[in-house]
Amino acid sequence: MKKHDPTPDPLDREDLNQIGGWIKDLPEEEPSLAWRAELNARLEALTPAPKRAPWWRSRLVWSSTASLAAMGALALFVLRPSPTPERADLGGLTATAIVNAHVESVTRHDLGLATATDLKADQGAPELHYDWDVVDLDLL
Amino acid sequence: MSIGAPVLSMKRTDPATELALIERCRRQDAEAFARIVDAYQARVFGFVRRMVIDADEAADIAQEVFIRAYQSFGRFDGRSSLRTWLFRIAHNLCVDRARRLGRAPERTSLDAGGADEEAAMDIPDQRWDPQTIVLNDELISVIESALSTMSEKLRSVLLLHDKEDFAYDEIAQALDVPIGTVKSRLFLARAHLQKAVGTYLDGETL
Repeated sequence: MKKHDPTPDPLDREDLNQIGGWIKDLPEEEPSLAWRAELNARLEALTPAPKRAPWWRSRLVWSSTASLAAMGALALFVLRPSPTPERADLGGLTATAIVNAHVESVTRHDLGLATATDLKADQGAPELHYDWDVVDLDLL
Repeated sequence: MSIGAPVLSMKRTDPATELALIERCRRQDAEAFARIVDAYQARVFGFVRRMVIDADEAADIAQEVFIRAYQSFGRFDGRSSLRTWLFRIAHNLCVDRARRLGRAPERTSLDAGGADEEAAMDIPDQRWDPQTIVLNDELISVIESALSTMSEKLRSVLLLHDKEDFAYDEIAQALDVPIGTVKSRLFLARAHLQKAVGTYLDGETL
């Protein structure tokens, strides 16, 4: 942006101003793509490489660790020893045996019979008293 | 380095965008600097190309302008415009090169100041009729040749003022000289060209 100078100036002479016009109209010589590519390479060489975070702050490390932990937990869950089914079976057998024993006992009692099992049971658990009826048994 | 290959178009930036880019460049933002290069590479390249005659050397110096700017952007204080700052770097590199080659920029006789300069400024050339002279390839060649024989001091002022539309005070800032010196150099540079073109025209009419 040219400023206006109020004082008379030899540079305002028309003949010399025409020179300025010619200079303005001189053909442009612009840089080539190769020139720019070379400049980019030189600038890139100057740009410091971004600092690498310590390994323990690496997202890869953390994501890998989290993945490994999740996989380990899943493996433990799947492969862990499972006592529950045996206990359930045992519980089922115990309940069936008790019911069978009770039914047999009641039947024998009703029939006025006594067995060695009853005697042993009476002796081992004197306080135990079965007072179930058929409805109770059905609930089992 | 190839000069004649396809060229990159110049993308100008508006002042607000340029200010934002300057802030980013101060933080060594390479992407922002690339946009500054996009905006100024053609003008800086054109200036250096006319200041340094050897094409390969000119291309190297033009690259060096942007390398220096990138390296020292943190020290760009904004007192001058970015354009003035870039051309100041370009001019200094060209002058340094001239010094390395052992050629004093003041060697051209028209660069002398003082009484001779003032006398020259008062003598209009009556043969000069600018309206009748058309800028053709031959005349362009004469002008380019006259530019190349001019001292760097005159040439830089002439190019910055007449080619790059710098104001006197901007040139004074870029070259670190008083405004009066800018004016006298501009006058002498134009007078030098006028003489060269006049000689060419005289020869043509013979």
